[in-house]
Amino acid sequence: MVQQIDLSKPARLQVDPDQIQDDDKPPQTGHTFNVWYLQWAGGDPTARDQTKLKFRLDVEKDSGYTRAKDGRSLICLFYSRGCCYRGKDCLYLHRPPKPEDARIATQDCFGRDKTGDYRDDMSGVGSLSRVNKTLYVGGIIATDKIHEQVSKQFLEYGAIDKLKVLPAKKCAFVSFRLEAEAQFTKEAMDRQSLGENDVLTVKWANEDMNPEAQRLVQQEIEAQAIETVKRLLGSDDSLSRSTKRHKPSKNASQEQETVDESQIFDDIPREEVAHDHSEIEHIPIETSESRDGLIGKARLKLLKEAVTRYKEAQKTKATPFKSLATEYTSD
Amino acid sequence: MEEQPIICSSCLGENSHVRMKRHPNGEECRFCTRPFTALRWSGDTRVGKMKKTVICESCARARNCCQCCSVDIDYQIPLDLRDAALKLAGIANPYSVENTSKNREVKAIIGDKIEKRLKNEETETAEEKKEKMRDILTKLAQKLGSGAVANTSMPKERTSGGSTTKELSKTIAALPFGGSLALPKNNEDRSFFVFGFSADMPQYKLSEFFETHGKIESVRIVHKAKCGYVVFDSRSDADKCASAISSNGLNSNLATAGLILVNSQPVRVSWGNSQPLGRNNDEQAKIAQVVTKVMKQLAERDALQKGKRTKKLNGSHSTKRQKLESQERTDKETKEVKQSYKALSRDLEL
Ligand SMILES: [Zn+2]
Ligand SMILES: [Zn+2]
Ligand SMILES: [Zn+2]
Repeated sequence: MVQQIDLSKPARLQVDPDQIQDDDKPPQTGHTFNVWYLQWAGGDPTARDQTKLKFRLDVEKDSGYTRAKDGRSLICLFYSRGCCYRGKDCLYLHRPPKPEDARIATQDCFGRDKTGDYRDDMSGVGSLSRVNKTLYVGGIIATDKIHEQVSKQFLEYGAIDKLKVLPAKKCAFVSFRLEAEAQFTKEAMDRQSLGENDVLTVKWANEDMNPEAQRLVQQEIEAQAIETVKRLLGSDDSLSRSTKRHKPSKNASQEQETVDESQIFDDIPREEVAHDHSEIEHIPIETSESRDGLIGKARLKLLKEAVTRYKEAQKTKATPFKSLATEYTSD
Repeated sequence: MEEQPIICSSCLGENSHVRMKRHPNGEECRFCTRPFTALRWSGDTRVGKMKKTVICESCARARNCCQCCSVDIDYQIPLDLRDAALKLAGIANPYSVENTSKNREVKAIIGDKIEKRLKNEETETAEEKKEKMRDILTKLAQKLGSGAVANTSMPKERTSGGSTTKELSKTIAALPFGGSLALPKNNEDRSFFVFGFSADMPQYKLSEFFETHGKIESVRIVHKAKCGYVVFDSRSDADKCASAISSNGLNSNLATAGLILVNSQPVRVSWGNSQPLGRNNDEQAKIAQVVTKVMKQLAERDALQKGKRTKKLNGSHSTKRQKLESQERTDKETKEVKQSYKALSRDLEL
């Protein structure tokens, strides 16, 4: 379980900016150093993955408040890797993801764009094509206590749903409660080590084709879908939410400042904005009438009735504890 | 006239007018891989300040989703959940996330096809669209009402063949199924054997349960084997946990493993030190079979005990002798339980 994180203290500096050297080359793994990609070319292409990183996130010590607003900001990618040099002045959150964080399906919890497909080696930001909460962890050295070791170190960053260690194949699969936790842990644990001599490679797990696992995934999505539809049908508000305007924020000036500074870290290349072919246009937003709720009052009532019927049906179906034992015997 | 981009209100932001920049062929569509004219603007709600479209217009239109954040444009819910709901309601959806091809070239061809089809479908008015959506929702509500949406797919217990090795039966015999929550003699013990949960029990729910009684040193949950170990940091916390479980009202019979409810699933807990839990899938599946049998036996035993207890209460004479008797009985039962596990592991050996 993730421990309660104290956010009342300022986030500490993870790296001293004065210690950072400009010519900080990664350890030599190839023949020539490519100055454009800051990588060694030639040699064993997997060697890069086998060098341990210099920094590692310590959730308890490194977390704290920053200039980012909880709930409206993204998580600091440098923080997750243990090397943010801005500390409390950072414009991104210095804490692991939480279930209540607002997320955009097309981006990860650091605000990076997901791609349509995974990379061939399953590294990178991840794919939009499916929700993936499972990480592949390679490079494990099997010991007697390996299961406990993996569990202990990974649950610092997120709540673990399932953990499967395959000592013979030197790898493990870790599933998290949230996709954001998987994204965060992937950055935090990649090229770190569990013990002394190992270097982990953390990537996205491929889809588990085992029918049992597929059924579980399907079951979870169905449960969530039913929950979502119930919520939609249950409240008029959410039905008409797309037509509602958010209240303008009070401190607009402060916001503006944040926008400018955030661009330092922003992943979007700025030159693209000043594209030659670009033209500026004003697009009027549809008025609320044009996208009025799809459902009339009468219809809504009907739907609500259906939902209450459904809920009652569920209630009677739910087994009270008394019959649990007997239920179990029926196998 | 230029088509309106399909963008949800939370992506557009709070202002009544948004200034957008157009980038011809500026992005690759995340669904169909074809380049399209991307739009960039500065939104100021929710997370992320600079916004841009990442899904082409025809893909977004076909899936009725936001070009920027991919939520359903009418209900603001994630696409995979909407598609799952539609599937549950029995409504065909050719563009569901599930049906998306994995192949790049096929994706692009399908994207072209969608675009052509949508051009011909221009005639569909807003009124018609509304009518269509109404139909969908009514259908869904009817299905929900009739209770037809319950999880239909039930697990089929896989009967994995293959011979059981001697080692595995040893492993199974070593598992403390016959244990209880009575204080162990060894003062160093602070580890619990936890078993009987199903494959969809999240590990964090189990750790949350045990964490309420003290600090956990390590957790080892093997879902495939339906069992695992929880080790406390200190003996005193472990003791607290054991007494809390035995007095939770679910355990009348203290001679067998204690019963707890986690995530509305019955789970059994007993003292027990870490033992290997199978080296591969097959071994773990075998262990799971044993766990299922043991759970059944324990449930039967509990039911029996309950029956006896109510009888006893009716008689209402509680003497020392009776107490002794019941003690003897539970001892005997424990022996029986232990014997039956031995029998079980012998079964598997055959
Ligand atoms: Zn930072
Ligand atoms: Zn497209
Ligand atoms: Zn959107």
